[in-house]
Amino acid sequence: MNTKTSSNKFKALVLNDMKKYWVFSLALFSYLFLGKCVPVILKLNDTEWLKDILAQLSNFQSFADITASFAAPVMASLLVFRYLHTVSSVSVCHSLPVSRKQHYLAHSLSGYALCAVPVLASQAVMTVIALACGEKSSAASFVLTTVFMLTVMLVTFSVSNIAAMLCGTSLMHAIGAVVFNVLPASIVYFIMMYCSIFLTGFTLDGTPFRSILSAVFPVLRFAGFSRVPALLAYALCCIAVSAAFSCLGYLLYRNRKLECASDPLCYRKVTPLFLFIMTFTLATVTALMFTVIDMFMAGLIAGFIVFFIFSAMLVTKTVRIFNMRMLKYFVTFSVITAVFVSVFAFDITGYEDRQPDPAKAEWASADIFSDGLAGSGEEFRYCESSYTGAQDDALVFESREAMEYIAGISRELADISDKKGITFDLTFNEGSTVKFSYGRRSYARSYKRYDFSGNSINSASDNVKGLFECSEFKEKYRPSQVYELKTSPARTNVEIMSLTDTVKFLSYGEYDDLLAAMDMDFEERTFEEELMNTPVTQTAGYIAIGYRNRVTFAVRATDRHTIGWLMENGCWEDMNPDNLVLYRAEGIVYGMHELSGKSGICTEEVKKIPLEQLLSYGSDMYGDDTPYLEIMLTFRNRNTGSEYMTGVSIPVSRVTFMDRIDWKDDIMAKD
Amino acid sequence: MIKVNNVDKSFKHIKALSSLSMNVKKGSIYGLVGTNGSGKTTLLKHIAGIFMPDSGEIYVDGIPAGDSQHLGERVFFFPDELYFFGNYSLSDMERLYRRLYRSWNRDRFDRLTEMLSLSRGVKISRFSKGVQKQAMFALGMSTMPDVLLLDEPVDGLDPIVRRIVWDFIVSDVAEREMTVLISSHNLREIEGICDTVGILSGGTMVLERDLDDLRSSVHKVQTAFRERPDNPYKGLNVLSSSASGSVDMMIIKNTAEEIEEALAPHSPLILDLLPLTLEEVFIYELGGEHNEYKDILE
Repeated sequence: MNTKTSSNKFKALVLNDMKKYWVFSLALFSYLFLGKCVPVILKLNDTEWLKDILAQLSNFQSFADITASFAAPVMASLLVFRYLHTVSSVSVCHSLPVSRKQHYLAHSLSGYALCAVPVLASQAVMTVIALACGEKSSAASFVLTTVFMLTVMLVTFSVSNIAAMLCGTSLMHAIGAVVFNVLPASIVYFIMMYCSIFLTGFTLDGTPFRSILSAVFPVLRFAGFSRVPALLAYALCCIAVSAAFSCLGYLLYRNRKLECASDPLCYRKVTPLFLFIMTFTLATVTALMFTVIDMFMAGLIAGFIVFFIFSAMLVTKTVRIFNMRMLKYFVTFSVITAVFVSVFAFDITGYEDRQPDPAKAEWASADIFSDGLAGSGEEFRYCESSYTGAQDDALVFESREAMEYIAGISRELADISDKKGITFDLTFNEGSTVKFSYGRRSYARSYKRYDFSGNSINSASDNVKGLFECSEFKEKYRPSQVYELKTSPARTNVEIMSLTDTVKFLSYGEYDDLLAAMDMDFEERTFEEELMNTPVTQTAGYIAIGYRNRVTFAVRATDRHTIGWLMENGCWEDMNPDNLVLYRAEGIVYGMHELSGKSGICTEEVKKIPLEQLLSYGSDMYGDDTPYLEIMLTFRNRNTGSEYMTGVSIPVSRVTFMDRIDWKDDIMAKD
Repeated sequence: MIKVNNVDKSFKHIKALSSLSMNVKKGSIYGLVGTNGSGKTTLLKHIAGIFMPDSGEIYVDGIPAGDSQHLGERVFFFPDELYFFGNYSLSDMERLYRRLYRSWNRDRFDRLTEMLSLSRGVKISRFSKGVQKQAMFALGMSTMPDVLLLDEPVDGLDPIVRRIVWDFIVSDVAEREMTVLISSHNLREIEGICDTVGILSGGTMVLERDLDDLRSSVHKVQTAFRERPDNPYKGLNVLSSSASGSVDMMIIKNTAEEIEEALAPHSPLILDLLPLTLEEVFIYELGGEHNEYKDILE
């Protein structure tokens, strides 16, 4: 057959597909046009908005672009190769004087064109709009996005075509196309999930998985293409991958038995593979859903059994699946899954035992202080006396001493985790997140993250104490308010507050002495003093730093420099418990039920709670299983009339209720 | 023209063709007869290159079946289950076929559509099944094939259209030496057109004969003698015999000349050689009236 005839036939097939499925292209263009172009056209006179939206749309951030890039190639593949999936059509199409090679190439080309042309058209419209609005950088970005979308679609399409060749029905083709396209990313994602669930120190941040995930799932990748060469390299890579997949697709087509049309799968050898992928994927998804009720393994087993049955029915297209062959598959898959899960559940790779060697690290970071020490109570966070890093909250330590302490904390946590047999919960109610980062020389960062009860470390860890008191920490870090006041470029004023009113106003530059005093207090503060974060008990003093949003934090009894300054400047009020009256209780919460409170008399039990505890809001927690009352209390100084508000949580068992208890109504304790 | 050698084909655990061999001469019309599930369609699809055999060989004019580059335009397969592209009219189909077949004969297509009163602008999916067959026939014949594979072609066609279809096929065979392979589940439907018949059963060719030879080799003979000689039928292949008075009724598998030559020395009073229907021929060939092939003969 000469080349001309061959090309004529090829052209005939392509035109035939175009004629059959042009509506699909039109629908895709309409979708993109309505999703991107129309909103922009309608708001052409809003230049500010237009600038922002063009920048956003040109950066592959449009929902329409993302969905079209992935869904359209799958759908196009389903359309152009659907003739393979019915007996009558496959007979007619393959009795035409066209070779399988021509069939494959022609349908591949037409399928790709069906989704590429609308994308090109919509992107061209957007580029013209951007140019017309004078947004040249956005116009250039649209061109780059077009290249990116086309390459992503090419990969997705070629992968979908492999599913077309392997499957004998359109349903299986659709399932296969989706599964194959997300398979690499899913594998990485599932491994990440299993690590997260079973390895207590595992964190997704900064792991190589994230890079792998973004590499195999291109939608996550686009943000990295700020430069043209990088995009072109990526595009070339995608084209090469697509070419490889296309060759594989053709080989499968060439050897495909056409009589398998309407069978679920055309290659019997891939049946167990399909069955396993479907079973394992759906079982894992079920297990992940079961993590809500803390029953991952139960979910995995239940999902495995149920979805094995359904998947078997699907891939064999029969409900008669209870036979020896399927039993063998079930046993084999169970063993594979058990081995896979065991790798994580029993930490066969020894991930948790691989603790960092400070000698090999250039720096280390412990995020232990940024959210407040666990167990130190709400007061600590509420007053924002947490410690942030010099820049971007990054707590980076470079001294050998500090890094040794961090490594020690890491070892402690791993040991605690083992001993306590931490469950699959990702977080605990009382837990604080502790994140470690180790930057190794010429090596990627490694992270570990432990979520566990902070109380265990507060009482036991010399390493945390050592880190807090070490010179590098004290040199680098300050209470956030002090740091902000010192570094704020704005002319910030400070108000010194009594319990009721402003007692002193300090304009910018007048509070250097106060800040110096606070600095000194921090530098001298021990770890134990830091944990004793309740405000002073005999006297109460507050400093409100004068942003409009009244940021306050307590002065500790040990903060002698600060107290000294306040006393010298007449800003100190004694707070004698004998002078306090219990004035009002409101905002009562019972477990998860919020109840509207009433001003009036509180319970006798509340009265028995020590003043220190009452002053420490939120410190008295009883865990999930104990119903508790959370009560906001307001005290009044009987001499000065100043008021002080705090909260307390007490177990319900310690409260005597009135006879009438209506959770939808108020409750009031007997008095 | 078509040579099938020891072809085997299984679908999962079902044996569809078993050591099947056949030979179709150029310019002949070959009738492939068999009950449902006997392997007719499977065989045709193998010859059309749609299916690949598990073992054995199939050649069309010396070229392996499935070689679409050399055979594609020369072989036309007319499937039992028709398929047309959605929303396509006959004109659309014609445009596609014209691009795919260099030998496309536009005049013939025009003539056929006129003869069969086919509407070119109407979607084919709106046609009745019979009209869809006519449309496919018009398309197929206009490709001017050297080999025409027809799978149950006249099912659902009215007698007038059947006549047109057969006439067209026969004239093509006569004029262009086109080779035709027709499958049918009923012998009577194709007996008037075929010159060779093959009977398939369970994927195996149980009988393959030239119809003229078959007809001329089996005869119903009525004889009566003045004085009945001893064994007057000696030397003849008697398949069946019965007597009514002095008249013998015989089914003899010999040529007319052989029968006359054998009986002439006995000077029979009556010697009538009566024609057998194809049905009777096959019944006697295949071993009696109550055999498993009865369905295809009725």
